[in-house]
Amino acid sequence: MDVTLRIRRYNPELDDEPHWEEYAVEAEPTDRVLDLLHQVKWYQDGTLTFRRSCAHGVCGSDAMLINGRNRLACEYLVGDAGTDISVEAIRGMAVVKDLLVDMEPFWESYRSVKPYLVNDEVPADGKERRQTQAERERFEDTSRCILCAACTASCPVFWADQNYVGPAAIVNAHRFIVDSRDTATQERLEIMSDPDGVWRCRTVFNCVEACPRGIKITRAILEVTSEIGRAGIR
Amino acid sequence: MASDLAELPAPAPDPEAEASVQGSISSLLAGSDGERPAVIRAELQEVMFANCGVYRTHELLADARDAVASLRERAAHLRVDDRGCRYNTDLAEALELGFLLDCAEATVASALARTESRGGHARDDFPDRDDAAWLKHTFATRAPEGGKIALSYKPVTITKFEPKARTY
Repeated sequence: MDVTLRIRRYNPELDDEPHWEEYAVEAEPTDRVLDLLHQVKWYQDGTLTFRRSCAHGVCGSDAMLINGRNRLACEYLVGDAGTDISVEAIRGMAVVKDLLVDMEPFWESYRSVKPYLVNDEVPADGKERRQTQAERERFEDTSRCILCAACTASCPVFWADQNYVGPAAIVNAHRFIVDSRDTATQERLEIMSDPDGVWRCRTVFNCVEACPRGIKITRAILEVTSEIGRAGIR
Repeated sequence: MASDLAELPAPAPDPEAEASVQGSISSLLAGSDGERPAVIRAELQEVMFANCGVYRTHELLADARDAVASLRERAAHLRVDDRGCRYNTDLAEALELGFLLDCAEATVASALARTESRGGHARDDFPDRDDAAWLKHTFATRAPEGGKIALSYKPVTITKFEPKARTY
């Protein structure tokens, strides 16, 4: 099938403003939008710039705004996207070039929640920290985040205020807050209770719709707020 | 991590190596006519997949050697659309094509020389493992000015797992 691919291009070295460019590409319905971007970059216009690494929905490098919704270009099939496809960079972050944004503020928020297991105590048996299946289950959903930023970049609160820590960082805080092995729960809940933390969420659910991993992000955010309440943090 | 790394002292690059890399970057950015790197890369991928996979023969590998050599000649003139200094992935892919050609050439030369079968290197014309001649690591090197690949070898240090026939 013939597909018209409209891409929002912007190279700050050359352009004053972002602009749309159209490319005609041939595709199978089973091709992914990433394949179309490759077709353009490899055979039509080498200046097109975007990020991708694994190209199979695991690394989280190629989140883009495709046909009005944040998705991974490597997972979205042409058969679902149709013959007129628009692609632009995810919103709320500075465009470095074309579809590629500066992720550093996103990583800064991620780092601020201490996204790693904190426990300096020696395990009871000297070897490992055991969990029941129910304890493990509590962070199953949030442990599946691939840090693609599709959620944070779809959040209107984040668009309005980039100091908001954003859904992705809260998801990763949740992953450790509810982990029975972790000992920094209190500290993380205090970070989450910051004015730029979890309370800024307005339960718009854009993040849930955008997440390519199907994580129930708003539920995780609300679980963090109730943990804050339980811990008596004001 | 970026801020941590920024504080670490970076070793100064070897001036000769730096000059050579800068030379290849400026010649790529200066070239105007030539093939797109992706076209040559796709052909390289095809020939390596078909001729230098797990099952190999002298004929397949000799064909691969000639094909890689001619792709290398074609890659001497590449078309790079993006001439900018900002996140230039077009330039990066052109540079990487040279690295891919290096790896392909070294792989094919090493496989051609190894007249035995071992693990993922299965020569249909030499189906048996030959520890007397080939229980050794291959090193492939190239003289700086685009010379031929030279092979050298290093003995294998046997630790916990002794080499033995696969009978499964």
